[in-house]
Amino acid sequence: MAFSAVLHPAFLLVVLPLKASLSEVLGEPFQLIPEILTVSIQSKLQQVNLQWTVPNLTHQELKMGFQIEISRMNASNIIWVEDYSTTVKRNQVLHWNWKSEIPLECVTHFIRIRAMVDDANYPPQNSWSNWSSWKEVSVQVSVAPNTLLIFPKSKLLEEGSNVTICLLYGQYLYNVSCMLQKEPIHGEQLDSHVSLIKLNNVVFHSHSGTNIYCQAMNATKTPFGTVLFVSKVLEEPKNFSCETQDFKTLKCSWEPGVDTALTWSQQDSQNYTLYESFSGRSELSDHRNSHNWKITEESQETYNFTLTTENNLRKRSVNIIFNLTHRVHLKAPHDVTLETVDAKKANMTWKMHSRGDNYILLCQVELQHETEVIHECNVSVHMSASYLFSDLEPDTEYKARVRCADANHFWKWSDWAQKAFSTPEAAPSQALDVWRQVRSENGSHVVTLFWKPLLKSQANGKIVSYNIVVENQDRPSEAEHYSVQAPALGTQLSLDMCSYKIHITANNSMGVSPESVMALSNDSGHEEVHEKRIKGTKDGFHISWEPLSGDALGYVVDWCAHSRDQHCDLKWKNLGPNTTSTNITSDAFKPGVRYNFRIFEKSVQQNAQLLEKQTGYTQELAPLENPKVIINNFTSNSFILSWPGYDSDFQSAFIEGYRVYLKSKEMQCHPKGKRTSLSDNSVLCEYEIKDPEQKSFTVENLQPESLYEFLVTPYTSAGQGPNETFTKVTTPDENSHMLLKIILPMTLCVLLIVIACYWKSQWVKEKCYPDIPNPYKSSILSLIKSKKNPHLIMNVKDCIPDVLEVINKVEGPKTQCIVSGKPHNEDVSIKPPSSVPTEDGSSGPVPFMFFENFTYDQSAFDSGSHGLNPGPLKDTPGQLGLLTPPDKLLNVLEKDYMKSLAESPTEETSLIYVSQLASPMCGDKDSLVTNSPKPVHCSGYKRQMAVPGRLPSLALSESNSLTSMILLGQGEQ
Amino acid sequence: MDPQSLRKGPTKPTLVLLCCVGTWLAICCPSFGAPTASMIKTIVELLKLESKELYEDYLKKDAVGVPTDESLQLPCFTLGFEASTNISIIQAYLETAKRLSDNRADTANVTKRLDDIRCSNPPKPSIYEPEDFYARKIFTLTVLKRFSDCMAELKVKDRIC
Repeated sequence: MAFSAVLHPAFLLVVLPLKASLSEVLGEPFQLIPEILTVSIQSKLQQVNLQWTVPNLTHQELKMGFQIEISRMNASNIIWVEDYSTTVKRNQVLHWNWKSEIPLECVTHFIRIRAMVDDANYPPQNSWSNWSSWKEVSVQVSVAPNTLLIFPKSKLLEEGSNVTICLLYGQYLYNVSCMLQKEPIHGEQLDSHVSLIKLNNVVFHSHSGTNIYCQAMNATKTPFGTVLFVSKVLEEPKNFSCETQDFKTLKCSWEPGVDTALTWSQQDSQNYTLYESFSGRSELSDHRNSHNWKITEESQETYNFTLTTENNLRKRSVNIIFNLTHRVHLKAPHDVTLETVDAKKANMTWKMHSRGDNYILLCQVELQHETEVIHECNVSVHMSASYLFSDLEPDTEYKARVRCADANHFWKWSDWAQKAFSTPEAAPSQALDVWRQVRSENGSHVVTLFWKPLLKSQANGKIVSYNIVVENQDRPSEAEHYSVQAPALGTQLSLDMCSYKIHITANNSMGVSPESVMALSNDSGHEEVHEKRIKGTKDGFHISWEPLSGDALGYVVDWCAHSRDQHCDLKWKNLGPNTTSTNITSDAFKPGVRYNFRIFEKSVQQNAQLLEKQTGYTQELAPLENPKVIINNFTSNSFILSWPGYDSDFQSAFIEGYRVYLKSKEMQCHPKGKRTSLSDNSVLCEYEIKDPEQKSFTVENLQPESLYEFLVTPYTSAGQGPNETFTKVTTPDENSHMLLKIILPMTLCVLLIVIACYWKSQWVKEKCYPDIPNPYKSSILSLIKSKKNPHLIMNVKDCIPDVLEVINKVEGPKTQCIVSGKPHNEDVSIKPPSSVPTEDGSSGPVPFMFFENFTYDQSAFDSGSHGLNPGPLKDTPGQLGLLTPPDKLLNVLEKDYMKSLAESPTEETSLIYVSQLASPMCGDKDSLVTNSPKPVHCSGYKRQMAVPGRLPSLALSESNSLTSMILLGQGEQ
Repeated sequence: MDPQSLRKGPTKPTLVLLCCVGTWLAICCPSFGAPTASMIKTIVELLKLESKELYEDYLKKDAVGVPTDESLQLPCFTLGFEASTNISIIQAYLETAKRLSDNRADTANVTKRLDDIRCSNPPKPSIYEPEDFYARKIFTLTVLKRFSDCMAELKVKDRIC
């Protein structure tokens, strides 16, 4: 056994060279057939790794070519053939790999290899060796029924690349559909259980990958899907550069491009590596866009940097080579100082970080004022430098800054180093632009002085005050000094009518400005010139004038707005001596505002004489308001409209006239007017007043007692005033004024009479109707006088009573039974009997007896009927007094009173005389009534009552009634 | 030393008082530091908004075309005694979703808010974590959607537990 073991290798060693030698002898090349050792798979990479060897290799090294075939699904379906050449060493294991575009889980692949010697030391071969046997390449995947498997899983790929998705169906599964981020995707069926979906040019959707989702009928599992990790394409770093500030560190920077990181660590952010080829150093950057490289070799001047960025899918590099001294980025200057030499000069100094005085630096110096660069220059310096700024403005803030760079190899400017400073003040350099306004008031000149503020460049500091020196030309020794504190731009002086010279200067802390001089003559402010109307434009006014004299020192045009709501803000413009026109422009000019211009000529003596007045509008507008109209001389046929207080100067344009609109029912226009219609289609009469100075209008030919409506509105070149509400007037009646003339005096007269009567009522009463008639004034007396009777007055003793009335004391309940009047028990004894007609018509229930006295009733006496009529009267006293004849009255009385007497026999009685009195007629007390039987006006029945003497106090208590009581037995009234 | 004094322990009234105080503390202690009604209302309103934003943001950003998993039954909670338990489960799911989404769904804020309205601290369950990235997306999206739906339906009460 041991022997055979030793023999066998020896035999082979002998036989094999023999075989090779034999082949060479026979002319058949000896075939070196490769032998596949292993075929492995990397699923995630979809890669097949092939390992083989070449047995029987006689040479130590041999250059060989290999051909590898790959077939899919079955051996005959060859999908890939690749030639591979290499130098093969004896017993060497060779490697080759292949990436499948289809996930290897989805389909079986087969691989074989053959070889051919391609070496000059080896006899030439014309053909390949025999193929090795097929090796199956597959990944065992089992798909459960009713499920679906999707491959590849979690594949990482770059945007824009292609990928093939493979679907493995389980049993009973059908109708499979897939979507890529909600978009349906379609594939091709490879066999009954495998289909392929090819995706070309995939795009980046999210850092968490692109979703593929599939669903199928009859599936029992959750939805199927996979995530493709599509990375953005790694970009090449841009603007890669390195520089140094201190020759110790190189700062390299670049623009990194997009971040290609993906979630779940499928791909980290790309890294950046710096490699310097001369030193051979490589450093991984901690930052995405910069890296500080330590300069370790001071002698190294040239650097060759390669910046490489890399992710899982790609690697990119950029390279720069440079000399260190050409990449010097200096630090900003330091120790910057600024020193003002005077109000217009300042000196700046600074220092630089430099490698020594041998290095020349280029520095840029800038001077800024209010963020604007007003001065810039470059200077060559060494480690320290200075620069003098001149022509500066006094009292001004500046900012000076400086930056430097290597003068020999300019790379970059350093950062700026800056310093702010201010120049000191200086005396004002310019005289004030002054003007005045003169008006006469109470025999003196009121002079208002104006001046414009000096520009900052002229003031050279803060103006503190303005000095005014008023010099009397007539009395040169008298000069008055005034000081006006800033920021006032004017003042007012009151001067007498002398000639003056006014000197004005501005002061700041450093000195006084040159003086401005103005002269005032005696007649300043009294100039009378014609005012001319001018037409402005949108931009302003063109003012022209005729020069007064040939030796004018210059002209001044001043103006202000003529507006009610703003004071005159006087503006002026100085013009040269040979000027006769100018354009006045201002942003303050507004349409509809009148501007008044005055042109003055300045003489050599600084006196200003008014040449012209001009007034105008930049743009005329329609009037803004209508005048307030007053109606005068208002008659039935006409009235006068007037608007005296209307200030047309403040209108928004020159008033060219007025229009009077009149509305009436008749719509009959006066011949001077015309019929027109308004926007509301109402028809009315229009009267035009073309003279703007005419401020009244007579409306004539009106109808009495008619309603008229009127409106007065001004008009300008731009239109007429606003359409306001019409004022309504009604013309009066034609006779009303006549009636007024009569009724008013009459009313006054009546009123006077009434007042007089009231005033003298007592007197009238006494005269016309006294309470107790004076028998001496009775009309009876006249009858007696006419009969020549010596007894003028009847004596009571001589009287024979013709009727006696016995008045009983009234018992309350009984009296109430007689009449229905209101009982007053306490007044019973003094009140007239209810049946007797009294002046107030009241009647009482007192029974009484009448004794008729015919002393005053001649007719009754004559007729012999005494007329005793007891009982109540039916009629009112007035009726009785005026209409009833006395005889009838007596009859009535007799009847009723007797009845009353008969009904009360037991009652206490008193006596009452009832006599008929003939009262004097109103207004004529002395005249007597001659026809006594006739009813007499102003006469009445007086009741005369005889009472016992024991009742003296009860007498003449009712003075206002026509009833009087006579005390019997006394013989007196 | 007086031997009587050695025998003196807490008297009867003291014991009764201690007993009452202990009972009172046992009842009331959980309510100390508990959120007020207005706080609960505010937190729940914020949770409604933030859960909706989380879900919509994740769906739009990372889960376009990804379905939810109907089999994943995330519990909802109503404000009541069982709320704490359910909140703990929800918090466990939210924390898992945050981890599985590689922090793309940042649920830390809503998890903290749930902490604020939780009365007790029951143990969190362990959650199954899928390995497949697609399954992780389904899980995260489902958790966020369920939580958002749950919060949308939640009626605010004065008390959680």
